[in-house]
Amino acid sequence: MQRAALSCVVVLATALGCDALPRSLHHRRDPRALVVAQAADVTGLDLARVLDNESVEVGQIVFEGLVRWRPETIDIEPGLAIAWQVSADGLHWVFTLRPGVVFHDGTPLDAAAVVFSFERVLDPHHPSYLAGDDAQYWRGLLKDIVRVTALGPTLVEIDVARPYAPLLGELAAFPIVSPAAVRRWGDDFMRHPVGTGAFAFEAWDPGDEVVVARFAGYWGPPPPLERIVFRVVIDARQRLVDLQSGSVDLAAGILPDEQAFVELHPDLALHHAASNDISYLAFNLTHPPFDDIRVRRAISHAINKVPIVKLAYQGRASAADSALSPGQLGYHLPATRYAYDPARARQLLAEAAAAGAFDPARTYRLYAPTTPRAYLPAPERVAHYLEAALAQVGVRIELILQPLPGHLAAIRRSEHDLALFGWIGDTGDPDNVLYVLLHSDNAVPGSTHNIAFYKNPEVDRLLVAAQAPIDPASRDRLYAQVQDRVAEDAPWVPIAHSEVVIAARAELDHVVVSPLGHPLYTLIRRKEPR
Amino acid sequence: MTKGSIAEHRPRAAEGARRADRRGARRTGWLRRSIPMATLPVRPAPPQLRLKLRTKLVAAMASAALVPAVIVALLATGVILSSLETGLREDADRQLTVGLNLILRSVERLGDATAQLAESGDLAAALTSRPALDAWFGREQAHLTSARLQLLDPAGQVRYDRVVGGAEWRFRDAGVGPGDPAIAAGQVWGRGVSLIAVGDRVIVRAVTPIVDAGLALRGVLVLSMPLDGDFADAIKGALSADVLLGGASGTLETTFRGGPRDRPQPIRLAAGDRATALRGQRVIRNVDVDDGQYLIAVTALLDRRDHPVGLAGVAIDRGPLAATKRLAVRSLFAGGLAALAFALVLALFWSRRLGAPIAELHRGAIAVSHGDLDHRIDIPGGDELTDLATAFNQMTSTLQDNQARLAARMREIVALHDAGRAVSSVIDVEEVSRKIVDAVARTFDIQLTALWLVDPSPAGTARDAQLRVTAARARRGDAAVSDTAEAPAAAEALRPIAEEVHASRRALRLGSAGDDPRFGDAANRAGAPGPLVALPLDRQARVVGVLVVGRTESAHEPSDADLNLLTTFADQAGAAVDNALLYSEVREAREQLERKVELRTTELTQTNHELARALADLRETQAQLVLSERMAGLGLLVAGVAHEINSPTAAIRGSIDGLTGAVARLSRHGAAFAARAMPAAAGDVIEALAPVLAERALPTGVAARKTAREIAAALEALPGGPADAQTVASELADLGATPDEAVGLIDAVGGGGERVTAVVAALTDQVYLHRTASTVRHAVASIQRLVGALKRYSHLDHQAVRTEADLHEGLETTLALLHHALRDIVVERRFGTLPRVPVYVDELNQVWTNLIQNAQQALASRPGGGGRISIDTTVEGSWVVVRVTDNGPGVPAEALPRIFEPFFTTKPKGEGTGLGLGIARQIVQKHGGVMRCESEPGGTMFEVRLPIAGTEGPR
Repeated sequence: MQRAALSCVVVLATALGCDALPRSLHHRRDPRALVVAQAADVTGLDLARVLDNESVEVGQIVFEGLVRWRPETIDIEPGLAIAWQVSADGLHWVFTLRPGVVFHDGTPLDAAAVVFSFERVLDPHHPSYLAGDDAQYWRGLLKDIVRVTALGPTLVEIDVARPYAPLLGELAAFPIVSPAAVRRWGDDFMRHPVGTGAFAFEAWDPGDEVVVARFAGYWGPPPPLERIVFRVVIDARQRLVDLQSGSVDLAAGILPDEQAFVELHPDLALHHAASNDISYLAFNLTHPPFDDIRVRRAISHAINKVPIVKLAYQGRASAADSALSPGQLGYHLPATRYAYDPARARQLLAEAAAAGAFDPARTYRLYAPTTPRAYLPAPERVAHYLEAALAQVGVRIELILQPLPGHLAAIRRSEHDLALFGWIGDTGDPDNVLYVLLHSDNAVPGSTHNIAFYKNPEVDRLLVAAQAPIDPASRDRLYAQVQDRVAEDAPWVPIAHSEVVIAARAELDHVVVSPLGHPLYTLIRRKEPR
Repeated sequence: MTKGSIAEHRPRAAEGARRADRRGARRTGWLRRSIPMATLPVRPAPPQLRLKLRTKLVAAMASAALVPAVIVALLATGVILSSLETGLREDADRQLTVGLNLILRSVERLGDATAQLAESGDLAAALTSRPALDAWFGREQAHLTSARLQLLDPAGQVRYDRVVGGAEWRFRDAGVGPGDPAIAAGQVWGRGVSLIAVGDRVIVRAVTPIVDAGLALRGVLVLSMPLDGDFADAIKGALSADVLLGGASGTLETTFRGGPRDRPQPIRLAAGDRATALRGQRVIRNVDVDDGQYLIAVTALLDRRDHPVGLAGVAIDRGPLAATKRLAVRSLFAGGLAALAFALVLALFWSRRLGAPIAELHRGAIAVSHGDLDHRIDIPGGDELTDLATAFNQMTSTLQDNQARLAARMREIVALHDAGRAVSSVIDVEEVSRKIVDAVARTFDIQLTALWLVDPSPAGTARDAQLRVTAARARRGDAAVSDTAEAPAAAEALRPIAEEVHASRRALRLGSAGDDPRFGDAANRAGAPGPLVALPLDRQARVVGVLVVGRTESAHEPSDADLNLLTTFADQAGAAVDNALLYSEVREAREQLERKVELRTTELTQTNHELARALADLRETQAQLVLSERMAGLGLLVAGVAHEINSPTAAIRGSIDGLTGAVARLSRHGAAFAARAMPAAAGDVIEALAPVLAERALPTGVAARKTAREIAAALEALPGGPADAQTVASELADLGATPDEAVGLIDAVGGGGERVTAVVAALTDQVYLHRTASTVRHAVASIQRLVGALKRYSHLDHQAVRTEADLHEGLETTLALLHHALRDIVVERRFGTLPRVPVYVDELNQVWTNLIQNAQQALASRPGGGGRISIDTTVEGSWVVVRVTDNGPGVPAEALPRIFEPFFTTKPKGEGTGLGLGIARQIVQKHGGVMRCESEPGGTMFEVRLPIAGTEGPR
């Protein structure tokens, strides 16, 4: 009786529109916005001037290149250009631009804008030339571009000095910017990026968050999300707490120890994908005794990568033999491999010591970052393992652990004897790994790329040669030779290829992590409420 | 009597009605209906629907007060309870989240603990000896939570197995055995923590490799911990709810009552809820257990591959909510009762206040409806109900007055009605008297009533007239009115009174007849010493009788109304008596009249026959007159036509006379030509020239002389011209020739005086012949034209049907025929454009002839003759209008209204029949048209209007 009366009351209350019984018991934020917890604030938003993971992640949403990677692959497909042709000699590329594309500021994309985007990086006489060091990376990548010219409103010709295969991969990452916005903001374009991406920059509250919003004028299918908030949550544990409380939808850089929690938690899901990255222990070849091949090989034998992968990566990685990861274009298992063999290591060191090339009494400085990266989720733990492993074979190590900026600065100053570091292929092209990390072009002080200062003319030649042919088979052959030679020379110990691990709320659907390490934000949607 | 109520009167009225019914229901119908109506009982309402107004008021007021209060209270309670319920569910959901975190954090902590233990400095070293291990365990177990710790060597053999913090039985089957996948994982440095199902329990198992500094594998450390009731107790403290934990079977251990040995019965999840929870969704349910109600929230525990291994949940005691709910319902109920009681009291009070006066009014209404008009209502208070009561009382007293008046009126009406019927239905004097007396006796409370009639005395005066009692009624004792023998005798006693009234012709009214000095004796003798009224029966300024009404001594004096009624009776009685007297006379007179009428009818029939014959004669005469008018008109025409034909006939005859001589001369000219060897060209010239000259108008004398001079000059200039050029020229000029023609002629002759003369003579005759022929031709054409006009006029083909005709043609024809008569008159045609109109052409021509002739004759009477006739034709609306106007002397004003009458004429005797215009108007009317005339001195206008549509007029 009482129950009947009560249900009658409930019916009445419902009929009167009293929202006394919410449909969902989960109080959520605006469901159309996605909140992403990032481990660090962006350093800037001009994709041509940033290299750090967070900035690139945001920049790649706001900006687009002439071409792009097909989701979940590193295959190239049309982007802002719908077609392209290469001349027979491989020196002239003509791109046909997609019609009807507009920048977030409403200005149309045309050949002039594309030319502008290249010239501001490459042409020192250009009024908007990016003179600083931060564009050096792109200048290095694109240095073979001789000229970019507009053949018509929608036709752009890129002339290269020599046949250059990685160009397309680089163009997929190279941002096309709104000339009007660049002229308007000048150096402040770093804080007011204007591109053509599916999401437009909305706000950047430094140290707090970056917000991008769905761009109504986007040429492609509109993304399901309306807005993405990249929130800075430095502490990995806090990221997990936020994620688990629902105030954050998605977070990278989850501590390996905590991945079990994420996996076991019914409200959370762990997404992972093989990444194009490499973590390595580089020897500074300009610092003896690491100029000695025996020392380098000895240390290569001293490191057991399996426990590292298991213990520091929680199994979310594979032990590396080469700079390239298996499955990547041009990967080759090198002929020379350094199995875990402490005895052999000691023997080699003894030989070097005997030759006066190695001083066991000396302590060598091993620089390692403390900032977790996708390729190094527990850098300190790896560093400690390395220290122990080297100590085991008689190499004394002083660990210098510092956050990423300090680490980079030290490396630029070439202070390191050994350095633990890593790299994520930006373009998916092997050139972007091997050339960047091992060509003598990048072995210059101030560079953070070839931090081993490895200079092998043969390797240099092979790397340049591999840039020219367009057909993958010949490139594979060239890159195989490069990887064999590098393995022989052992300028660094490749440690692991990580898996990109993203923790996300279980209600997110279509969370696809690209091999480049970023979720594809244009695909993410929420599952329909149950 | 006058104060008698309708109730007293009713039997008599009803009796009247019944009698009336016998005689003629139709006339008395209203009485029969109206009287029962007054006695209609008030029909009571059906008993089952009888709710007192007070009851209704109470119900309405109580529900008006209660319903909103109850609804609001119910709603408010519902909202509060449902929000409490929602809050509870949200709390359960939140607690489950927290609980899950606590569980998973414990799991994670176990993993961390395992990793830390494995890395705790000397474990790798301690693995070598059991005492070292014991020592290590002794050191470390303080840092450990409740778990089973197992150490394995690199080969996977268990070397050390201890339980930390907890009863052994909890961990009995929690550890790893040989071949466990956790061991294999640990052997390849695999590290991790997972949830696994063992039996119906969930076990947390953490595995980590034990490595030395060089990362070489020295052993494997496994920590296992069951997620059981004890574990639940451990985390319950951090929650504000009870914890539920169990395997996938759906049986959940609870923390409802503390104490490890006093574990309460586990609860079982329903199969559907279990399945839902194992799918990873949250189930929130109410469950009843022994000691109360709980709201539980349950979800699945998943292993690392997202397979469900068990269930975890929280339970929130619903006791406080249930208590709140009970309190709310109780308060609601109590409040509702209180409100109901209050509303009832209030409603009772107000309904009593309102109901009592209404009941009083109701009683009053019932009393009045039962006839108690003396009932009065007293309602104090001064509100609308008091006003209503006052109005009710007024209404009742008005009703009372009206009823009294109505009763009196009713009485009069019935009496009058009876009297009237007596008067109207009876013609015998004696019977009339009886009925009058009966009516009076019935109507009034009488002692004695009598009717005296004056016996007619043919030559007598009023004084001489004898009064005679014709009817009387008297009351015997107290019994009914009787028609006994003593009544006339008693009436006879009143003779002095009757005579006095007869003589004075005025009503006599005695308040108490017995006490009257003059008539007291008479009244006493008659036995009517009470109030007495004697009335004269006036009829056409004479008294035909006296009605005496004596009332019982006890009765009141008759009122004015009674007197009025009696007077009316008297009038009625007078009329009745008079009627009865007259009746015999009338009957006699009627018989005489019928005889006379018969005689007259015979005479009239004869006269009628004569009149019919005269009418036939008249019609014949009229037809003859019409015909003669037509013949007269035709005669006039014929006279004109004869003249017209005469002129060309005379011309033809004259021509014929001249022709004989001319033909003879022509033959002579031929001989002369031959004798003088006239060139052939001369003949040709003559033949060519003669018709030309014949057509030429003859020159006047002056012109001829001028031309002659010119011809002569031309001829003299001619070489070998005629000697007598002057004569030749003169003759040629008379013929009308020009000088050139003359020269041409002379040239053709070729000179020679005689030849020229002969040629001119021949030419002259030739021209004459041509001229004569032309004259005859014109005359014949003229005759032909006349004959044609005559034919058209009279329409010899005489069609009797209407034809679409041009009115102008008829007018022209008429004018042509009357041409002779119109010689001296200017005829002005002002013809408009007319449509063709369907007409009887010949009849209409007769109209035109008549009008034009009239005009012509009017003009002919003018001194000096001449004058003007104008004929106008126009279309006006749907009419064609023809107006014939003359400027003659006009029709005299006194004659104007009569001109269309037959035989009316202003012409001298013998000139006109006087029928023309009448016939013309008939013709026009036959066409559906109108004809009228306007005239004044100096002008007359006749107008004929004909409908274009051609309506057939009356024939």
